[in-house]
Amino acid sequence: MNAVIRTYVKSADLHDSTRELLKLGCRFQMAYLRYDGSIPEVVYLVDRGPKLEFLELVVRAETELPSLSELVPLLSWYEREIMDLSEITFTGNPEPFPLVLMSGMTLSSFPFDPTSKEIMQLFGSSTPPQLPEILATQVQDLFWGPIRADVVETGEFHFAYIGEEILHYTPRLFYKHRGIEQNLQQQDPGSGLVLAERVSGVGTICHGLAYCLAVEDALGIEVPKRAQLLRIILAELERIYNNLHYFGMLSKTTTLKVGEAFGTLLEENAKQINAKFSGHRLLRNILSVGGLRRDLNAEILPPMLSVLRQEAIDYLESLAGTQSYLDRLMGTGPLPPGVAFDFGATGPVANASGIKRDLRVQHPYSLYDLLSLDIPTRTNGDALARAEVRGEALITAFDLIQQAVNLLEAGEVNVGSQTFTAEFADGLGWSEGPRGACIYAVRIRHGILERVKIKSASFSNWKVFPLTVHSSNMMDYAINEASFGLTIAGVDR
Amino acid sequence: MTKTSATNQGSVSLDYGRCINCQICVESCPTDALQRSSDLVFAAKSRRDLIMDDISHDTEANELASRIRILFKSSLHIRHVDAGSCNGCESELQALNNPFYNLHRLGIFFTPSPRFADVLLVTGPVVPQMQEPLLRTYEGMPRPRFVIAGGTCPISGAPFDFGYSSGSGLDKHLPVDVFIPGCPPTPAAFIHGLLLLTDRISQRIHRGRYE
Repeated sequence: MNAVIRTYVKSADLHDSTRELLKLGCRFQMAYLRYDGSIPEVVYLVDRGPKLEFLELVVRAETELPSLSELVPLLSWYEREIMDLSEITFTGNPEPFPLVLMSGMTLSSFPFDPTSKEIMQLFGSSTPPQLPEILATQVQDLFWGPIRADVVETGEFHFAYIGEEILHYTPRLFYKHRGIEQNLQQQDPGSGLVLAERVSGVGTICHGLAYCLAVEDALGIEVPKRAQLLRIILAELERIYNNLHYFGMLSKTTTLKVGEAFGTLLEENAKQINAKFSGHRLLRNILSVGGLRRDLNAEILPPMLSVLRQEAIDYLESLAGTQSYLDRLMGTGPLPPGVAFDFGATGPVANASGIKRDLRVQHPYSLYDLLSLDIPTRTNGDALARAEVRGEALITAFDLIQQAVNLLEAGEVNVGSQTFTAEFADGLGWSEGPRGACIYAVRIRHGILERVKIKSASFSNWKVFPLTVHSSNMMDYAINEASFGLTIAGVDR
Repeated sequence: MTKTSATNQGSVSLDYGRCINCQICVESCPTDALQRSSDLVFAAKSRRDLIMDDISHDTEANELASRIRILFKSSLHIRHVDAGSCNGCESELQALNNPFYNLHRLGIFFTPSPRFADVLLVTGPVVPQMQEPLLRTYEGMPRPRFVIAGGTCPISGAPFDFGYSSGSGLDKHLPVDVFIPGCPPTPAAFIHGLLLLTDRISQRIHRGRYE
């Protein structure tokens, strides 16, 4: 399997090549810095279309590269991350200030250069972020965070508002940047999974699976059919509990106490089913490079899941019949299709804005092509559309598990004691998680990981989210945020 | 004498393995708790025997601490801080409020403001960019206050205890009252830790052995 074709371009030709690709309907996925020996290069990963190989557009990195953010706005954050973690600058980037590292923080040297032996450390104390200058005197500033009410992840949000109306919104994420991409360097490909599973706790399988697929792609490992189907089951179980959580939170923000209690209780039931099936409520410690660590008994699932499925259907129906819930979601935070595409929306957020994309269908992996699956879409792009898409994805997940269970046959669940290694190999792996596309690119040299790039769904959707907040109102903010269903751990890494 | 905490309220320990007999500690002790002595026979077979931890070795202080903790047994308010977590611990902490665990029945509540909090419950390895917000939250809490390390990351930093933006655990920054290992701890494990803090349940692990 060759997941990627590679083209080298000169930095002077970068804009023209990009325009050509956009004209063909290609979509940029991510950009990252990688080293070819001691030479840095920037890699742009491009989706050329359903079932076609991904394209790697590679440019030898000079200290200055032209920014592609004007043509492909979703690349802006990737460029800023590269600027934070290297000496490269992208001229023309519209927001050329720190992203991953907070203003005031300094990195003693740069990660990702495999020839560097320095032990680097992040130090300093953070200073206020770059914010748009507001001259009008009536505009009020509100900083919310980084530590916010309730049990939530760390993030700081700045609102510039008049009365109820939000004029401009700036999320300040990356407080909890852990530098996981660098942590994965020098790891044995088998043990790197421990970290990949912990990039985003509620995305254990989508991250773990994309990582495994990338390593398996690099090392040429064929995963046994039974393991591939069990991986589908694990991935869909993750989708079920995440989406039930999503509706619990959406009920909470629309102040439906009973709806919240039901949603979180159903999520709890789903997590307990996870534990009975896999041994872990968040489905950890079961994946392995080459398959699964042990066989799982999927026969116990259908009876438990059929009950939960009916409860979920009833729950969604009662939400759909609640006027106050619908009132708060309709027309809230609309995301137009063009904006969703340009700024990189993925998963349910993209589907709700009319973009029919889902890696399980367009770039099937792990035998998803054996299953029948419709991508739910809406055209309104508002909070209600996002919720409806999530609801359909939730019920579809139950059906996909049933289909996978039906196809299961006795067999091996991993490649056994065979050892796989590579002197030099690249691999790409991807999965469609509950929040959208998760992509891992790995480079293995002398049998160990030299570079791992993680693209999480929330990194894409956080880039888009602020666009739906500008000129909305304060009362709808929490609902709109819940309708996106974002995580911060996945972005911050 | 070493100050083991970044804040003024940290525990103090006396380490004879670092003592150069200068006696400056005696002169500068604000409460005259330290006395000059002429004990010179200090050889020990274990390095640990040279360290005096004020709390763990002082039964009177232990009893007082226990009496204070018991006062919170029917009402305990928690301020959670995510200091670099993967969101796994948050997922399980949020589950504590679902109808299955219903943490309220135990008189334990999450509170929005550190000003109302009795406990600081920290998740994540305490990465560099989270140190300042974490300490500011702690400083905003009224006394007496307790600190819980929720999950394996805030106990040791593992598995994120290396690299440029790593953390090596909460007790490098604050005095920790209860450690709850797990990746993530299950909601039941979190509840056990919270009950352990207020002496409503007994500790199950001693010297690495589960009893």
